Amino acid sequence: MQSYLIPRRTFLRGTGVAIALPLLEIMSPALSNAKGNASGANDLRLCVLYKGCGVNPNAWDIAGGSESQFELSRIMAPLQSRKKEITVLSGIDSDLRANGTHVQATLAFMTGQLKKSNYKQSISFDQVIADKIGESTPVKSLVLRGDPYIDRNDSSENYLSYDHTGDPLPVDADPEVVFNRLFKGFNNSNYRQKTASVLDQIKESYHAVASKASVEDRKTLEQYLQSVRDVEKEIGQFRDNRDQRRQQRIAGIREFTAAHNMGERVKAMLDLVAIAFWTNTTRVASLMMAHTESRGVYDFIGINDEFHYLSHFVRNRQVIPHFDEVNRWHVSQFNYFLDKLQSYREGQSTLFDNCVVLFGSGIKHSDYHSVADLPLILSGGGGGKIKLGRHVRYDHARNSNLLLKLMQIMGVDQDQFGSSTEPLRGITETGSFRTDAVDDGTWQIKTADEGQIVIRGLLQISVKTDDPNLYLVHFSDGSHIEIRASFGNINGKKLDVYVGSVITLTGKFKDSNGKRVITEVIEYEVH
Amino acid sequence: MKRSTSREKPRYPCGEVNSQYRGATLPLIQDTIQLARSPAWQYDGPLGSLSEPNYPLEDVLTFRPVLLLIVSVCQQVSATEFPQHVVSVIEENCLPCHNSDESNGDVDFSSLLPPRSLDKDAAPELWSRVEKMVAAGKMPPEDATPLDDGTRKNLLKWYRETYVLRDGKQQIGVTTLRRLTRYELQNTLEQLLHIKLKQPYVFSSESAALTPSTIEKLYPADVAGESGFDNDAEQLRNVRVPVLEYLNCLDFALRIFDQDAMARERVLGSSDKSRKFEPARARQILTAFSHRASRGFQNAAELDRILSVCENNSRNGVSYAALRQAIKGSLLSPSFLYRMEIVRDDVNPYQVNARELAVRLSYFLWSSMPDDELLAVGADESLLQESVLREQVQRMLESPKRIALSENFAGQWLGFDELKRNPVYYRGESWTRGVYDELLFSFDELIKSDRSMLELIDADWVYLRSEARRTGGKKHQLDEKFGDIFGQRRVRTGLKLERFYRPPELYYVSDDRIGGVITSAGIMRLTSAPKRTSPIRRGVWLLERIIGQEMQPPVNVPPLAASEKQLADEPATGVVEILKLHTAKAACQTCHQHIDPLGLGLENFSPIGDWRTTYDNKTAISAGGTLPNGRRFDSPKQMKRELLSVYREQIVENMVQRMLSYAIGRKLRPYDRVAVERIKKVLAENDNRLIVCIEQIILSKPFRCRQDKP
Repeated sequence: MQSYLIPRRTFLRGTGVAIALPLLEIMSPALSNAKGNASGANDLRLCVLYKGCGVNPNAWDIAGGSESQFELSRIMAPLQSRKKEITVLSGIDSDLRANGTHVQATLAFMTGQLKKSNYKQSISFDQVIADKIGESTPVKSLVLRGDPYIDRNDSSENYLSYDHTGDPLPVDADPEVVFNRLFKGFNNSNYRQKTASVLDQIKESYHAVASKASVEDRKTLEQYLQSVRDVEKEIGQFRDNRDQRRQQRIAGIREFTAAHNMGERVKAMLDLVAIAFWTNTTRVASLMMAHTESRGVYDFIGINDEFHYLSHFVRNRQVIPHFDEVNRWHVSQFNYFLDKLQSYREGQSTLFDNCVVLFGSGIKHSDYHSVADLPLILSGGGGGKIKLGRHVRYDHARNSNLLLKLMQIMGVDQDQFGSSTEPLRGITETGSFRTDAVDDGTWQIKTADEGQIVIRGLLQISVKTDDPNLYLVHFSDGSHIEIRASFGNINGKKLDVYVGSVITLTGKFKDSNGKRVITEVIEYEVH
Repeated sequence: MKRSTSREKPRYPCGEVNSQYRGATLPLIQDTIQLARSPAWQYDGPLGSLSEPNYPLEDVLTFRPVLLLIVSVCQQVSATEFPQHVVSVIEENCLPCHNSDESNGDVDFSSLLPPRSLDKDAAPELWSRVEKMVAAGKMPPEDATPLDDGTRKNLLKWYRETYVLRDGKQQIGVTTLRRLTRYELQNTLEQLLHIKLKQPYVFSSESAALTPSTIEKLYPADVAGESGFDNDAEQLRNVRVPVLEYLNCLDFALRIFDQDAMARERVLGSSDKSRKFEPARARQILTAFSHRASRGFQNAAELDRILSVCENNSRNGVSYAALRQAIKGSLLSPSFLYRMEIVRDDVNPYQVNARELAVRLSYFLWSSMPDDELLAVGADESLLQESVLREQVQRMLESPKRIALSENFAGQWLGFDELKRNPVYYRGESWTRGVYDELLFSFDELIKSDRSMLELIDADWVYLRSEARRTGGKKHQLDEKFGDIFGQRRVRTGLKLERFYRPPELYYVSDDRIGGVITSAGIMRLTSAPKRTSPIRRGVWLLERIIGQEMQPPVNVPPLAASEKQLADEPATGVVEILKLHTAKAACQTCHQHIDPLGLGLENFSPIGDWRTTYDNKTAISAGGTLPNGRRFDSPKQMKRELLSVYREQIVENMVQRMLSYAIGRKLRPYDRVAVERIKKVLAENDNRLIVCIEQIILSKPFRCRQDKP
């Protein structure tokens, strides 16, 4: 078992810079004044690991196989040794359906719907869960980011978690600050008391000042009061959820990972989530590993271009190996986190068995910005509820249905969330919903003359590494036709959204080496 | 590539001028008087073709109450409904090309017109654009039936009366309560407690000048709102107050205070921590402190609470610890964290009082609390006299604290604060600090030497960090009048000091390469990827940040960010060819005729801003180009000159808008055009000097007034 320690002067290094936090009261050591209050050992925890920018589908998608027999894709390779401990989810679409942008993809990922406001969004599913179970732990939930990039033009791209009023929750970016909050600070009863009395003072003066404010101003001030109440609540939770085992575990924390770069910061955040879960300090966490328009550079794995730049790979094919490499790194961090969870014993099992971990992105094809068939992997035992070791293919299922299902697993008694229609099937029970679309024998070339062709068949993206922009339509007789159209054409027709669907497509074609190739998509209909 | 924040709203093809204030200049509150005085005044179309009425400065300053006689020539417009004449124009002239089936430019009126919606508030941004296009004569397009004069005037008049004026009067919108940003909080705590919280400008192996300060580590960064600045009141109000982090900051600041004898001496009149204060003396100290902490916002109940410490300790005297506790108490008050103003619950704009003006002034120019002098002229109301106000503004701009304008305003506007914030741009302490400071000093130079705002674009001077100095430039003697803004920060710390950081120095330049911020290393880096330049990013940066055009990646065309490197499978080699290939289509040309020449004109600057004449593969760089008006340029210097000749008006307007937006802490609305036009007019008569712009913003109604209700 790995143990942690935060030295009194922990140096936190960014790229080449180092500064120590001063010894503040929040850093005073936790006092072991706990009474025995053994909390349920098998409480479930939820962690969402989000990486922006989508993927290269050729390298992400799993070709063929069945629900239990399948080969992991190139990007998923770091998970090879734990194939039995993950469930890959294909065919789940974002709730904004076809038309995705970076902003909307981020806004909808955890809220399961889209609202047309830069500020007000509906509550995110992690917060529904936190509202339900967050009070039984000292900290209601963690909202973290590992990517230093913040978008200045679109603040909504910077948030994943929203509270019940639709306000985004502040995101913690500094592992050291998070560490202090979780394992020092309010664990100390003196610090709790002092802070509580300070908060009382704020409330007193709030009333004195608010009485002189306008109606509008009072609404703004009300927010300050609300934030004060939230801290009070957290103090109360630290006080009421004292627990001998937790204190012992915290006392054993002896080492803290300093973050020298983005890679280490992400890792430090994952460490913090794992240990926060293990000590039952919180049971809900989300981490933005990569921003959706990140200008972050993964130079620590030898890649010197910006992540968002790399993600536009169709028009810039030489970046593909680098883009895939960064995505593989994200998967390897996910793998590291699962390792970490397994390293902590909890009763007869490990922490892993009592976690629900969702890894993924709000965008699929990063150059077309399509938001269908999102890259998603589920892991953690979910207290034995989640059936692992599978690849489940859905037929355009809604992401909100998945979120609803995870909420239910986490103990939320609710049957609707965002734009959900039902809790997603196939998570707690086996049953792929489609190995492929049902071939009714009508998939074929219908007409082809004068350079114009009409076909019906199953649309797929090629997983050939050498051509990231090659689409195929499969016919009943086992043959297929290639679509080699320009980026602008595919983008304009939003064709990528319907990969995996049966379509009737009209296009221009050419004969090339005796083979018919579609060179331009004119229109299509999805069945 | 960044897009606008209102992404879901109907879009126009990129390339349209972003300003809501271009196009027609419309008669406003004082204009109405002018209208009555000079019947010859006529509104006749796009900007520049009308004779501007005069705005007497004293009117602007004091808002002399005047009886307005507004003759309503237009039919009465209800608050929420469209009048029939507007509906007719839209239906007859717009709808044929902008409907749910054929939404040219992504504009669809069918969903906005009766019977679907009669609410004028449904899409104000759309109507702003309609007005702009119609006023500029761009819509209806050339091949469509033009609007007749009367119809056009009525449409514009309707827009003005509906969105610009309210009941014929200038409006400013509801004033949102402003919370201190992290930057302001740090400055304010420094000034209030007489302590140092910022990172000192020293340079050593252990402590980097670009390292965040402790406050910056403890308190989360603010995120820019719709205004593009992080002091956006609406944004601050929508994000949770980080209370715990705030308390940590206060603890830290008070800890520094504990350790700083000089600071204690200044605040408490004694640095002796073991001393007991007479209750009367303690009352005095705390009253003065809480007056400063609340920036003069008097609140008896609040003061009683803070002073209670003296009553409780009246017998044995008040200890340092008790005083410190009371000081902390006054920092916990909302009247410290928020900039409270007295309210009248008025639907009409009214002037804020002198104290409030002092506070607005100091947060605009210093991003900090008013100093004692400013508090005093606020308290005795003399600040309301124009002469005193002007004196104070001048004094404030001569103070080193004015660097906040450069750090906070220019840093966010031009985007160079990213150099500090984002480790991606880090190339070693000396380089990163150096290129940051070049920009910082350049903006400050406009104030320091009272220069034209346009010298930001093209100038015969430049600030150069020591590594970038070449022979040939003539070092400029610093004007001592304004003092050295960094004097106060160049201090030793407890850390082992290796050498002082030498800030960039001012040089006169005469060659074709540098001068102005556009060609600065910092901007060149910010608009490049680490290893390659991006002419499109550079062009878009110029158009968005400097010229003020809102660029949007057009629908169904590859997004800008990646477009220039599309062609991995094309045989093209040079960046110029690639760009030409990509933007050859007419649809692309609408924007790219503006973007490309500007970006390509900067190809002589490498991704980190070094001068180069060939690419890595030894092919020569040709940085010449032709602007949309057909003017050719062959060097960055010529490009800047051409830029100023083609876009001068937009550049000035953009700067005015950005600065006003920063000063009042919100995105500008259609009704703010009144103020913007006025400021522009005065600027035109005053060589576009930045100081004049600052003064005019301070004299403007949105800055001077408050409105409590919509």
